[in-house]
Amino acid sequence: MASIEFKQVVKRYGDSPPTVPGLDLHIRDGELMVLVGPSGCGKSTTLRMIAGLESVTSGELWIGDRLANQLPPKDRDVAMVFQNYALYPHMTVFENLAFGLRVRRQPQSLIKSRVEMAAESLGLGDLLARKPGQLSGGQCQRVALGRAMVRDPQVFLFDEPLSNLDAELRVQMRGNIGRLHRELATTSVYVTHDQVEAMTLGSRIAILNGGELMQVGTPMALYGDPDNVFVAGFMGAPPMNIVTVQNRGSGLKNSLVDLQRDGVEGLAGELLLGLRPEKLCHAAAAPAHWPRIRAAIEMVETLGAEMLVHLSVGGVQGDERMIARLPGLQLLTPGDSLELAFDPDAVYLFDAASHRRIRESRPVAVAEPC
Amino acid sequence: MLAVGWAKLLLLLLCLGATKSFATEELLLWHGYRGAERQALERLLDDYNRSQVDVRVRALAVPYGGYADKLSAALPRGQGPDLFIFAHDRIGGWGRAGPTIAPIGEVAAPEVLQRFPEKLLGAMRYRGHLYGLPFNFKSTALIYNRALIAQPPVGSDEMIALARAHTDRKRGRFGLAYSYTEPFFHGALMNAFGPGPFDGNNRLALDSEANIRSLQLLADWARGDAVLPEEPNSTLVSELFNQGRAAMVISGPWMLGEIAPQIDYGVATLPLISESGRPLAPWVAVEGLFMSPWSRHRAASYRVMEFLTRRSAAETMAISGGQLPANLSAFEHPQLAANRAAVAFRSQLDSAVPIPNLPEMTLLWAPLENVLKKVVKGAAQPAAELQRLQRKLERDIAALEASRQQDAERGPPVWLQGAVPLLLLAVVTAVILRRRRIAESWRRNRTAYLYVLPAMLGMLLLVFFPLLYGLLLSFTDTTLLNENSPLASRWLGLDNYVGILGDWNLWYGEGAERSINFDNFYWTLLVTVCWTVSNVIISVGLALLLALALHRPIFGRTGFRLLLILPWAIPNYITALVWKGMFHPQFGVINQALQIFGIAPVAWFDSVGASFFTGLVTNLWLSIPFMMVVILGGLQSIPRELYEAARVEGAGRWFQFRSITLPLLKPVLVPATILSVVWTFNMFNVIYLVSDGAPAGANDILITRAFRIGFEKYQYAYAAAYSMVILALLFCYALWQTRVSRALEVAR
Ligand SMILES: Nc1ncnc2c1ncn2[C@@H]1O[C@H](COP(=O)(O)OP(=O)(O)OP(=O)(O)O)[C@@H](O)[C@H]1O
Ligand SMILES: [Mg+2]
Repeated sequence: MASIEFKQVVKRYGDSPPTVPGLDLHIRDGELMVLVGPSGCGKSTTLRMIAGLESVTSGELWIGDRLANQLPPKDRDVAMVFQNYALYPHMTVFENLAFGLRVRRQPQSLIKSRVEMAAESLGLGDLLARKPGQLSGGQCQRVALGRAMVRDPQVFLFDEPLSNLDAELRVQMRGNIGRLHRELATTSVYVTHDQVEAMTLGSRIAILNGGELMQVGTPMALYGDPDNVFVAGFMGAPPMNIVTVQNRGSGLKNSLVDLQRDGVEGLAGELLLGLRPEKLCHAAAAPAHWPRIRAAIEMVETLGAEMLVHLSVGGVQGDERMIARLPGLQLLTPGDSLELAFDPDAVYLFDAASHRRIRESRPVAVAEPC
Repeated sequence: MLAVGWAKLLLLLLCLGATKSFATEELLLWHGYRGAERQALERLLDDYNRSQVDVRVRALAVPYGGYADKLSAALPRGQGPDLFIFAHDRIGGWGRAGPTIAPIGEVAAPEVLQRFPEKLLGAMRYRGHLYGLPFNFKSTALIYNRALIAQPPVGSDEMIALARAHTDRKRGRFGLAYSYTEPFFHGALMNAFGPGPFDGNNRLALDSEANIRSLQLLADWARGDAVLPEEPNSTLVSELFNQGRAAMVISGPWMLGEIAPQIDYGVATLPLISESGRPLAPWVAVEGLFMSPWSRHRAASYRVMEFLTRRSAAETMAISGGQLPANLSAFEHPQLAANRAAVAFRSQLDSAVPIPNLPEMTLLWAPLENVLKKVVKGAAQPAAELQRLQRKLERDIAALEASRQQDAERGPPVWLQGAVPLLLLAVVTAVILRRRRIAESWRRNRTAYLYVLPAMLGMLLLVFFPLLYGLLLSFTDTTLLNENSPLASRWLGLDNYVGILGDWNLWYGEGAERSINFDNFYWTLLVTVCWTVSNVIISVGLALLLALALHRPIFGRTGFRLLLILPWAIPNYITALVWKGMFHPQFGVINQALQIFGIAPVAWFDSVGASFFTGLVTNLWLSIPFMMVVILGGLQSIPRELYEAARVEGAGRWFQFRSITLPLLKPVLVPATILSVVWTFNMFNVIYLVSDGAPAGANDILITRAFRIGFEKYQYAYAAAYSMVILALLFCYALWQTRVSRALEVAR
């Protein structure tokens, strides 16, 4: 087992601006760290640096107590699961699983027992004689996992391993990976751009954007206490509503929202206000002191038990939009006007220029339902 | 309006028809002339056409390369021209083979024949028949550089002494240069000592005292006096002469046009042989005017022949065509009398000897050239070598004659007569039995059948028909002499195959003299297999290395790829000729490079191994680019992630190569290797053009051997059987290969 530490790691391809401009990240021994972020933000690059498939331009990369910058992949003792599996098409499942052990010249009997053990735990026992061309996508995925497992490496690396599977299989495999991690407790780094995967799997999640680390923390910490607009918008589906409001000293206001607030006097004249969709509820059911919102219904997405209501404020300049997650029991028609209310304690404030969180003295009500 | 237009058109057509039926006889004349000579001939024919009312002669210039074959193919079948111009040395073969050329003895008037010297007229006669009128003649003479040679030599000793004075081998200068290993050129020496390759009764007498002495003299010139350049050919000779590096050359009038303007040259008759006092007597090739026996305008054709040999026509051919006309009265024309070169070639005719027009002569050229090459290199003694050749050619001639003599006695084989109807019957029955399925399939796939129809017809015509014809031919004893007699009378059965496969004469000579019989089928097979295996292994190996090197992002990769693919873009016979030049023992760049590094030059074409090597190098040069491109493509199709996965799993380069690259290249390597095997097995061009099977056919592969049997020995049927054996070998290989690759496929 090993921890992984990035110290001011820079990765630059050619002369272009750095893909990773300076990463500081500590991955603890035995934890499953999920890297999430939009496409092209450098997740794979970061992962491949750990594997040794990409060189580190500057900074230090530590794996365990070894400086790994110059270490060739074979000496890092890591195992990697690739997005499209990278199974050797001309080898049987058995040979695929045994590859790493063969490279290391392990005795035949050990190879056999290890491979069979891994195959057993992944339900591949009957498929050992087949070739990858004769397997389904999910089976391939399990072989890829098995190949990483048999060697009992110090670190597991996963690069979007589930993105080629359909939704149902994905859930199932997610369970597999989670179980695997709990059983083996091997340090793992898991790249994905699916935030559900990130939330369900990760011990901790690191959110990247444009190569920069936005925030690291447990799934709940990121959800409940985002450091910036990006993280707030990234975690949760549908994302947090962010609207621009004018700071009146005594309160925050725009065409949609009118919120009385203490302690905002010293802040800038324009702020960003964040409010999760689930924190909006029908005005009728809400306490009287909660601020009201009147808006036109633009569109309704019905999810079954609940529905997502897209709202906008009418009028020419009315470009403020919000999404509300409401119980799916009433009939709403687009174009009708709707009155909602929200808990003033569930509001997040962000600086409009830096997009950083403005932490107020009062705690944010994360857990309470509306 | 429209009606008027139609009427006009009709009138026009009528007029055309009328003129056509009025101008009647059109004669077709084939010739192989180009440039000035062609223009001269066409001008003469224009004049002739203008002077005639009811006859028109149309000339067709046939490209020289396929001319003889075209004539041999067309004439016996009643096609081709009414009259044609060709060299006289094929008369015997055509005369024997049947209706190819018409005897003209009966129509030719004595006063017309008087135009020609008896020597040239004799060249047109075979077995007592006169087959054509001599038109032009060509022989060699001595061409010398007047800046180096003041007075042309009279005797051969004088010539060699002069030559020695002008030879400086280190500086690449030679007193005398000519294509002395070509029998046509060596004829001058043979004829000076005696009657040439045939005795007075037209029987082959190659091992005569005279011929042995002629070879000895040549060996002395080449090796003792060392005044001649090695491995000569006509390009080398004219190049040396044009650079002033050859004082004297022996060549024909065709060379005059190639001499560089700055060279002041003279032409003289060849000297006398000093020992005997007899002149060197070069062979003269006589271009004759011949007539097709099938022509419907024989009388008109003869009139054209007569016209073209008149003195005025001869003058035109000589003055504007640069020819040496057979009607010698043309040389009295002041313009020709003043032309010293023409005069010299004209007087050379006095000692020149027409090439024997016997069909046996055609068998002689290639093997005699081999003997000459061996003798001038000191690899063989003239007497022994000529005796051996005499015996071999006697056998070959006997084979030709035998085929002819048996004709009369033999009938068509009974089973063959029965087989054809039986086969037809079988086909018809099969069709009737399956008519349902055939009709069904036709209805369902009609469009598909229509689409493949043109290709099927093409295959039938271009592949299956020749194949079947070759197969039939291989069961006969067809040769040059009987190719026009009916197939059934040539039927032989399996004898050719027995002859090829049952030939266990692996050696000739006894004891210390014993050496490998390079003509033997099994030796040739061994060479072919070695040739194929070594080529394929090395080319695949090297191509793999190059492809691996170029697959990585090294500096200048695109440039290297382009460079390495370039040889592919050049026609392979050009590459082959370039390599042949580079391997030239004296002037080749390879030996010159070896000498720079202090290594002794190698006589590339003298030993079996070195000669094999020349072909190997050339073929590798030709085949590696293709292999490399194919393998590069294969490499590019291997996902990079597989290598990344392997690297993460700890595999080093060699392990990656062995366990990923090689197995995943297999789908590309296997077909490429199959193709390469087939191509190399039948790589005619490289062998024929580079080493030409040297020494003495030791490096011939099956396909070049088949060619030699067919077109140097003229044993067509035997060559066909040889080709069938090659086909069978490749077929077996293909069967085995499909089994192997199918096994691979299943395993994948
Ligand atoms: N070999 C390379 N050369 C140059 N630029 C590269 C190379 N590999 C990646 N990049 C760039 O680096 C950036 C980050 O790429 P990376 O593959 O790490 O993204 P990612 O976060 O994994 O995205 P995705 O979710 O789409 O897989 C991208 O802008 C990409 O164009
Ligand atoms: Mg990626």
